[in-house]
Parts: sequence; C-alpha cells; structure tokens
Amino acid sequence: MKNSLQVLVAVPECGPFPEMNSVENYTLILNDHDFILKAHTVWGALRGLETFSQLIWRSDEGMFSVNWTEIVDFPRFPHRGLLLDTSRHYLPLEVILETLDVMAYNKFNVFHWHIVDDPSFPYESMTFPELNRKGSYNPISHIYTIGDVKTVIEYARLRGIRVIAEFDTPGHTLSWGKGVPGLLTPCYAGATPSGTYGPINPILNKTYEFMASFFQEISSVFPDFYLHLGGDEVDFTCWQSNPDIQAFMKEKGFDNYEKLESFYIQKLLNIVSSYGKGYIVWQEVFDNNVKLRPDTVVHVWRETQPSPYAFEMDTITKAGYRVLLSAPWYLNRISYGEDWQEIYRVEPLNFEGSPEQKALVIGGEACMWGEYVDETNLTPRLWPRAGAVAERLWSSQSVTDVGLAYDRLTHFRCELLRRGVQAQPLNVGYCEHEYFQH
Amino acid sequence: MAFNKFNVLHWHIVDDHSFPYQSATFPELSKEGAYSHAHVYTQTDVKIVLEYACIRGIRVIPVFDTPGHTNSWGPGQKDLLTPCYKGAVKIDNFGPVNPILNTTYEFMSKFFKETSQVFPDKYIHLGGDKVDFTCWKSNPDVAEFVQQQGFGQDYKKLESYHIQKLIDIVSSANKGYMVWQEVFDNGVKLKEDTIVEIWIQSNYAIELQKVTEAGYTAVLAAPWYLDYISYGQDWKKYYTVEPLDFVGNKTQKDLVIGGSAALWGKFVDATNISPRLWLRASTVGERLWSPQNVRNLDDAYSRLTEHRCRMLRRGIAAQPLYAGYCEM
Repeated sequence: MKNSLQVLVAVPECGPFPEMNSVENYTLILNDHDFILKAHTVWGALRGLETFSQLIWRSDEGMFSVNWTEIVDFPRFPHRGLLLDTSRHYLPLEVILETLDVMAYNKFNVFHWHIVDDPSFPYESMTFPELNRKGSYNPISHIYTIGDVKTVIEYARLRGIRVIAEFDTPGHTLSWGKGVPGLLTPCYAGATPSGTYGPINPILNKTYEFMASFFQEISSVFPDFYLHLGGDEVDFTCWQSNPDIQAFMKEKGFDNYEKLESFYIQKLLNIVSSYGKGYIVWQEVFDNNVKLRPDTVVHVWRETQPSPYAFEMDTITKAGYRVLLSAPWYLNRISYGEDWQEIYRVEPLNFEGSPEQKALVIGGEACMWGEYVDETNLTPRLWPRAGAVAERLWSSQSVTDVGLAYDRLTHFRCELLRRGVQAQPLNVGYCEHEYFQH
Repeated sequence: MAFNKFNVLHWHIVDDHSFPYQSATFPELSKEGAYSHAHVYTQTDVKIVLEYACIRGIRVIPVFDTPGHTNSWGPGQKDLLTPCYKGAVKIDNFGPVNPILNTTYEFMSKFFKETSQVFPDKYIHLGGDKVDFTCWKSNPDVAEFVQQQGFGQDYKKLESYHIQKLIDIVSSANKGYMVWQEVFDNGVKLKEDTIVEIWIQSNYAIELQKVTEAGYTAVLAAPWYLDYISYGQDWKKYYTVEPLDFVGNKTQKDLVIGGSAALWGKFVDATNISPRLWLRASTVGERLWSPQNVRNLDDAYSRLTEHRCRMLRRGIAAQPLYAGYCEM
C-alpha cells in the first residue's frame, strides 16, 4: 500500500517559464521498495506525473491500483504545439483554460495563440486601445483583457506549456485597420480609392512607428523568447492597385511584390529582434527570400502547393533554418471516418535530407483554425484527434502501429470522459463513464 | 427538433453493436445485448421520450431493423440468429435472423406485439436493409430450405420470405410499416400504405420515380446523411436538395410525404451530437416545411445565422456556420 509518490527534481526552481530547450525527461519507478518520480526539471516532473495519473486503475473492489512500473521517458521533439484561432470566433477564457488542461494530459507543451486576424481583434492593447475597441466583435464581451492574457500564460506555465502569441502581418489584418486608421493599404479601383482595404501599408514611416510601439508592448506581455509573426497569404492585389505603392516600387527598384513584402517583413523582424525576441514565421516568408536571422523558426503549413511539404522541409533545413510541421495536421479540416489514423501515420522526418538537416526539425503543431469552430464544437473536434499528433511528436519514431494506437487512444478517450472532457468517440463502442452535459 | 418544426423522431434504437431497448417480454435481449446495464432505455425512459415528443408535436417511430443488423439480438435470444458454417463445420459466428425456423416468427410475433403497444404511433419501421447473405448461404439447413422453397440461388427471395412474414405479423397488430428501399427493390409484396424510405445516395431520384410509380409512399433520406461530415459550409448542399426533383406526374409527386435527416451513430454520441446536428439539420427542416421556391442561399444564410444565435440563447450547442459571433 502506498499513499504518496516521491517526486525528486534535480533543478528545483519553479520560477522561470518553460522554454524551447527545457528538459522534459523523467524516470518513474514504482515497486514495493521505490515509489518515485525523478526528473531533471520541474517540467519533466509534470510529464511524469501525467503518466503516473494514467497508470492508475481501479480494481473491482474500488481500490486504486498501479502495476509495477519502470519508465524512462523523454520527448522525441521539443516543440509540440496546438494552435487555437480566437479571431474567426472568440473563445471564452474557460475554454482556452480547459484546452490547456487537456493539452497537458497529452504532453503538448506549446500553445500557439493565433489571437487576432481579419474578422476580429480581441486582444486588449494598452498602447493602442482603439485596436480592440473598434476591431473586436464586441468590445465588452469578446475581448481578452491583459488580466485574461496573464491568466492564460500562468495557467499554461503551471502545466509546462509555453504560450507563443501570433500577431500575423502584413496580411490577415483587416480588423487592425478599424482601430488604427491609415495602417492598412487603401485599395484603388482605377484612379480612385474603392473604399476597401488590403494588407498593412508597407511604404509609410508611421506604419513602422506603430509596429515598433505595438511590438514593444507584445514583447513585454508575452514572456516566451519566441513570437510568431505570421507573414502568410499576402494578397498583392490591393498593393498593386495603389498608385503610391506603385511609385514606391519604382523608386526602390522592386520588380515584384514579393520584394515589397520582404521589405516590410525585414523591417518588422529588425524591430522584434531589437526587443530581444526570436521569431517564428510561416513558410511564405522563407519562400519569398526574406533575409532571416539564423535562429528563425520556419513554420510549414502548405500541404501540396507550392510544393509537397516534405520537399519544403528539405529546402528549409538545407538553408539551415529550424522547422515546425503543421501541414498534415490541420485538425479543422474534418472528414468522415477515423481520420486520426492519417494524422497518426505522418512521419515528420520523412524527407530527403541529411541527419544535420533532420536535426533542425524541432517539432510540429496541430492547428484548429476557427472559421467553423467555437466553444460549441471545439472540444469534440480537438479530442481525441489531437492526441494522434501529440503521440507522434513525443514518442519514438518506431511507435507506429495503428491497431495498438487505436486501443490506447480509445482507452484514453474514455479516461478523458471520466475527467469531464467532451472528447468525441473514435468509433462504435462505449465508456463506463459517458459524457453528461452540465 | 421542435425549434426547427421537425415532427418525427426516427428512433434507430437497436442494431448490430448493442441492444439498449429493455423489452418487458424478453428482458434477456438488453441484459445480454446492451453495452452494460447502465446503457439501457427502460420502459420508463421510453415513456418519457414518447411524452416529451408528444408535447412537442413529434411522433416517435421506432426502428427494429431485421433480418440484418441484428448481431446484438443473438446473445439474449438463443437460436434467433443464423449460425454460420465454414464448409461442414459450424463456426462461432452468427449472421442475420434465421428465417427458416418457426421459433423465429413466434419470437417476432411476441416481440412486435410488445413494441406495437409500447410505441403508440401507427407506423413502425422494420428496416430490411443491407442483408449480408454469406452466412445464410453457408448454413446447410438454410441452403436446403431455399432449395425446397424453389428460390434457386436467389437469396433475395429468402429475405423477402422473412420480411413478408414480418409484415403480416405487424399488420395483424394493426400497424403500418416503413421499410428501407431494399425491401421494395427486392420485390417484396407490400401493403398499399407501406412507406418506403430511400437512403442510397446514388440515383435516388430514379428510386423516387420507381417507388412512386409503383404507388408507394416515399420518404427521402439519401441526400441528408448528416453523419457524413466534411470541411466547410456543407449546409448548402443539404439546403439545395429538392425532393420532388424527379421524373413523375403529380400523383407520383404527391406520394413523397417528406424526408428524414439521418445522424448515424458510428462516430457520434453525447459529446458531439448537438454541434453535428445543428444547424445542418435545420436546413432539412426548412426544405421540408417551406414552399418549394424558398431556396435563396444568401437569404437562408442570414436567417440561419440568426437562428443559430437563437438556439445558443436557448442553451443548444449549435455550431457556427462561419466566422462571426453571437451576443453573449
């Protein structure tokens, strides 16, 4: 009979935040003599505690039991993330916090917060309060106050989860324009403005003054070393239509708009670097030949265009940059059936490349874009499907048997239900504790 | 459903995997066939559903699908299912209901007598879809019976034989019946007021034509299998369905009495049923209630988004149609 688990942590401070290179190893030894969890850091201890909690079962008489165990465990990839999109639909704070809980159950360690985008700007900026006042769906109910943000960061920290905020520019910024007039490019229909707006206006000095102030705030609010700066899907049509931009292009000798986009991103990266932050960018920034710092992380999201993602990963790592993989893990792209299997079968290092290149793949992220997702369907759509990504990123490359994974995932799903998580079924069957709506 | 003016609950209550219906006459069925003793609908539960539905103007039509889809009936009712053979050896596997034994029909008689009393609606759905003939063919007694009856090698005739007897049993209990389209397709002799439910996706317009041409009433489910989820605004494809878009005269078109949105439960339970149903099912609700000319997608979109916020206010976890928000 045991009534306590001894937890031994070599590096005892609880103060700092989890980081990219935090050591998450742990050893779990459960037998009659030793009932201990050993870890180098507190982050490893958290992982070990989660494992321990999943090893416990209940005998028929109702006694909590655990089998003799010896586990030496560590993650394969250091960056195991989940992206939530709070612009397409606002997600209440409790929903984010619950997601962080379930992320911890799955040993995810990065929360990629795609916090603002075209449709809405829910982030409450202290420097530019008009951004959320004019850009949110509802400035009272559909915003994240600085208190909310700090709550998320601390809640995540206690679970060993880093919070990487994404402020995606120069595209995906329609909602920014409402609170900061003149920030976005006015589009033209012939010689006159059409009344619509496009990406951030890259030719004005005040754009960069704004970015400098804004990112100074962001850099201090979000403690992680990395910020995600976006840089994806910039639609050049509006820039092309604007005569001032055309003139600027001529003046600078830019013969294509990728160069203008690079011009903007370059200045943005310099601004962000000056605040002591590193950055993650979507793959277009690399594809468009922007000059990146060596410690930039490139995020691969496009499955087949402009090239298959495996090829993209080869190209990026060949150029010496670190890579995150999301392309095959867009969980928002639902389909009928057991789609978790396809997700599970992905092998991130399945590309032509040297071992040095492969070492630059630091992990990946499951993405839950929000066009069709909000609190009514987020949890069942996320779990247990995201679990397939979590295992792929934590476990050894050889753990690939789909049949065995099915058994473990269905068992885990029932455990999630028991913990009150609205995780949807994988196939026909039942759990002892079914979901009961409160 | 009531918020969307649906008026029939099609309760597909039992199938291969589990038998949650607690029968008063045959308690062993759920005792041995349900997932667990906690995974049952007692007679009281059923009454609650019936009353709750009645107050909302919703009929409850139970589905007791035979002879296929009956795996879970076997453990609680010995000799009901056909034992399968491998060559001359009986294997530990069972197939559809055994259509050659008198005991089968004695059981069916008693069982449907009970369900006819428990479920007050005039109609009961007898299923009759997707019968796998392999087990029947493997069983020497069944094979011999088929020979004796002069069915040749056509096991569809054996299926018809079963359904025929079932229909007679149910009719004598004064019920009308709904059947899946295969029963019609296989030439079973049906009562005039049989309702044929069309579910096979490919060429359902042609099936509508055939069924109504033969004078039977039709209910359309084929284009509305809501369990077939896909990415994006799939509500549009459900909304644009026009049930009367088939070749036929007015008499035929009048025989199409409506439709059914289906949410099969392979990948669905309490955790995801509400967002998966609403508002995709609402589009079916409008298609079946509103006049034929109400089909503008943009107009439907603005009404649906408003309706969605309304359902949220009423506590229904209806999922979003697209980016946007509802007032809290």
